[in-house]
Amino acid sequence: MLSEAASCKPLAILRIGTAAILLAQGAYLWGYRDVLLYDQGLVPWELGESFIDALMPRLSGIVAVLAPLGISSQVATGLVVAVHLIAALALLLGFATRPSAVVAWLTHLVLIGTGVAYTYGLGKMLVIALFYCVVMPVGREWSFDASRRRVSTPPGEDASLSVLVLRLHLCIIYGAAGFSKAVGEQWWTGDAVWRALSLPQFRQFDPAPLLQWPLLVQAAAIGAIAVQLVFPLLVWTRYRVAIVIAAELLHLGIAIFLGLWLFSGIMIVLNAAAFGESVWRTVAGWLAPRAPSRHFGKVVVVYDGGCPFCSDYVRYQELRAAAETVELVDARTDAGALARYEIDPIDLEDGMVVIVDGAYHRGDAAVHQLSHLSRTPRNWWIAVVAALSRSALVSRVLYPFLKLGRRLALAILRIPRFSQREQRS
Amino acid sequence: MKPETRRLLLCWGAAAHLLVALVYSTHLQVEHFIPAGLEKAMRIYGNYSGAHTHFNFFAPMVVSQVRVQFRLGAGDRTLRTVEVASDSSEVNQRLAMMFNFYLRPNARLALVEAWARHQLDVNPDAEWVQLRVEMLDIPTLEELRAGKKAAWVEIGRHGATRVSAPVR
Repeated sequence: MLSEAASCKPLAILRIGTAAILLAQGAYLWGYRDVLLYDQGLVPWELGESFIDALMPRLSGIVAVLAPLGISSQVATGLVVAVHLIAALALLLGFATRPSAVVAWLTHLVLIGTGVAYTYGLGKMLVIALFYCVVMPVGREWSFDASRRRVSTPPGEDASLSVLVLRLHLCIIYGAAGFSKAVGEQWWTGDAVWRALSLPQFRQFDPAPLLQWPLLVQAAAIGAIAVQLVFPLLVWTRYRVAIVIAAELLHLGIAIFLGLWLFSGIMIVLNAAAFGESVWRTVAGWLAPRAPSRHFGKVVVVYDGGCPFCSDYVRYQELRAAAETVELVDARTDAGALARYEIDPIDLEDGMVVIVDGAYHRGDAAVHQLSHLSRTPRNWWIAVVAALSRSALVSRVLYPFLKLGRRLALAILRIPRFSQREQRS
Repeated sequence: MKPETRRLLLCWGAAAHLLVALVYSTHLQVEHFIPAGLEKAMRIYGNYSGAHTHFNFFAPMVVSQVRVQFRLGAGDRTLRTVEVASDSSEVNQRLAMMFNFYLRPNARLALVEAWARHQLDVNPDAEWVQLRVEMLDIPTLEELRAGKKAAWVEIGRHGATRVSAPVR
């Protein structure tokens, strides 16, 4: 569980995602560099650079080097931004990957150093991501450099150690962020979420209607704390998929509700690089074809053939390997089925009945049983439902939504429900 | 270099990097408890590597927003009020960060002077500029339900003339 990098693809995700965000940021800022970055802009360099450490790179230093060549501070600033964007493009393509990562990283430090007054979380996260692009083997996959190598380089320990470092750093980030929020009263009352939604710099919509549901606002705040605090723990357990998805949804929510698309983007990229391959393999394992776990004497599935979903669901089950005898009974056309199998019509109103060696399973239990009796169905949506239904708990939670979907479909298709079917003599 | 030595160096390097990240990670200023020389080295390394990052975004509280309204007076006695904004939400986000720097006492006067000078630069017809700095007072959820509304509250007012803030 500590590190499972089978390839350098996770690091390629880090490289490509980081470079894409740099380019998107550059597209925003290029047109406003006179206001944000020029010495004659809103924050003079002397002031902005007074907040950074003396050993950090800065625009005034570069201008001082270029001034003897007759290059003005404005042109020099434009050159730095242009070099930064070219390096980001090269990083995206994986062309001269390490040198381009170094150039992108250093120019980024220059720009956020002098522009410290404009720097927020995104700038800091990009430093982390770019530093990792410099020191990690991010160019070995999905890159121009890799395509030029005639012999592919095995990932080796470098990929595993790199992914492990990404994972541990993310745990530090989420743990610290969760802790810092947890000690703030605003986050427990929900005021923090309300304030963020109300600030003009983040406002995407009028939050006033949310006042009618203060508990929802409070739940969102506490939920954000919870996800961040449990992330460092759950991500090393079998609940990794759930907590990684929860974290990604948290960032998606921040993007949608606060407009922080670039910041959310870099967090999503870091998560995808650290855990994406592992999560993908786990989910693929759930959906992979598998043989039934036991063998039975007789399996009977009684269903409402009038419902296209039930018919498809039953048709795609591959039950032959699970039992000596398999019988699929369409109770809508077989009038005697209900009496023969002693089934109440209400059991077929919203689902099916699965009889396994005389044991009856109805509703969510029937779907759960089928998921264990059948090989993985070939139809994709049925395979997903079957995979999810392998857990009795998930099946129970999912079933009401399946029932609702089925009723809506029958209503839209104007198919009478089972209790309203035409009775055949 | 032997593979074992390289592996050992990489592992120790990664561990040291993550330790620096852990030290600086929360909103607590732990650096004050570390010997100055060591802290300086850690801070410089952390600034270059991103390990010197406090992950206190919106934490422990969400700070309110500062806005600045510039009132410009021209020689012909006309007055107009402008705000610095753009069509880009990403740029506006950064401008808001910059205006919030006003809350730092050691930066306030220099910022105000820079903003005044910038406005006189981009508005050559203006003879003077008055800066009205406001902060958004956001009520709590409880106060909002009781009827209180959010309002901009003035926290500072500054002025400059073209003579006192010569353009560049």
